[in-house]
Amino acid sequence: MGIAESGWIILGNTFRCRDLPAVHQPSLAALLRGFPIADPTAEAVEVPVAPGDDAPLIEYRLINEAIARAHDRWVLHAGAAAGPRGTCLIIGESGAGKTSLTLWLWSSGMPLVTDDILPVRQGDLTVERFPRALHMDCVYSPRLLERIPPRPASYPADYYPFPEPPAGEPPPVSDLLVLERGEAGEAPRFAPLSQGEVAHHLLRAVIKSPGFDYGQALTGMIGLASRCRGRTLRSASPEEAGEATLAELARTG
Amino acid sequence: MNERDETPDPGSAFALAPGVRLEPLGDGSAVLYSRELDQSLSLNHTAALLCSFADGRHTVSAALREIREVFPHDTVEEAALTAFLSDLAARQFLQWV
Repeated sequence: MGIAESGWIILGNTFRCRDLPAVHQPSLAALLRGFPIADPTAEAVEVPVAPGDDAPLIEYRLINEAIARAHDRWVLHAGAAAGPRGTCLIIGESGAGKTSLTLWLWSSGMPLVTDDILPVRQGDLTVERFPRALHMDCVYSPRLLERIPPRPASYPADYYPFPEPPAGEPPPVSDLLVLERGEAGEAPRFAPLSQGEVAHHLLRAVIKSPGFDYGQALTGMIGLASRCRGRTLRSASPEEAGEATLAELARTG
Repeated sequence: MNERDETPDPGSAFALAPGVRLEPLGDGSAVLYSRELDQSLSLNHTAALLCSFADGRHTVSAALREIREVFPHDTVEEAALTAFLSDLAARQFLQWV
């Protein structure tokens, strides 16, 4: 199952794989150990998960497999939203607030590209949407939760649907934000990054699957770094990070 | 090279370690990549310039002289330069010749 060819959405209670080519169904069946082969003409394939099944683990296996098969793409652990100048990437250590900031930008009107996983085509360095269910798997800011559309009643509490993407591809990458956790009471602060630092941060965000070629990825990330403006954003709260980012992107857009 | 404590002296020449590549970037910064280690380092403009002299012929003092010519208004200390090169050598990105 490729990433670009097969838009697919995974839900917490059933897996709905949309537009899955028939040729990939045996692979998916093997991966899920017993997945029933569906009608090849069906628009979506429902994969029921029985009570007690570990849905996140199945999702993890699916995504890992998709990344391992994406030979012509680098896959970054990053959030991304389409801003005034182009696609803004958001990276940072685990818990730094990537998901919160990405969802804040989305709920402020910027089209969502991904909340967590970002494929980058190796040829032209364009990015793709990754429309899996949004993850809300830790404690999020009440102000953030108020801003995003309500969760359908049929969805598990820790999953939200990916919004319907706008027509067309996401715009070229223009900005990179590297999130750093600030101390309580500290005002949000941006600091510019050199192209070398941008390339280095991007390289660290690339998911290293088997067969990963470090030198080739470095060349790609240097190319991406030359196209975008990088900054660190140090902030104590997701709300302040969101508002500061919106102002910064509008100011430099 | 001072053999007792392995601190390079101003007359020591230096070179990138085998398999290490310097990737200069448009804003003067650079990335140093080691194929052997599968690691990279990002360099600011001064460090990038210094590494551009890592050809096995430039000594520390010769590199310092050239850097001071490029950045006449900056204070570039020999000790800081030597410490940086020693750090790169410890990380196996550079070798003393």
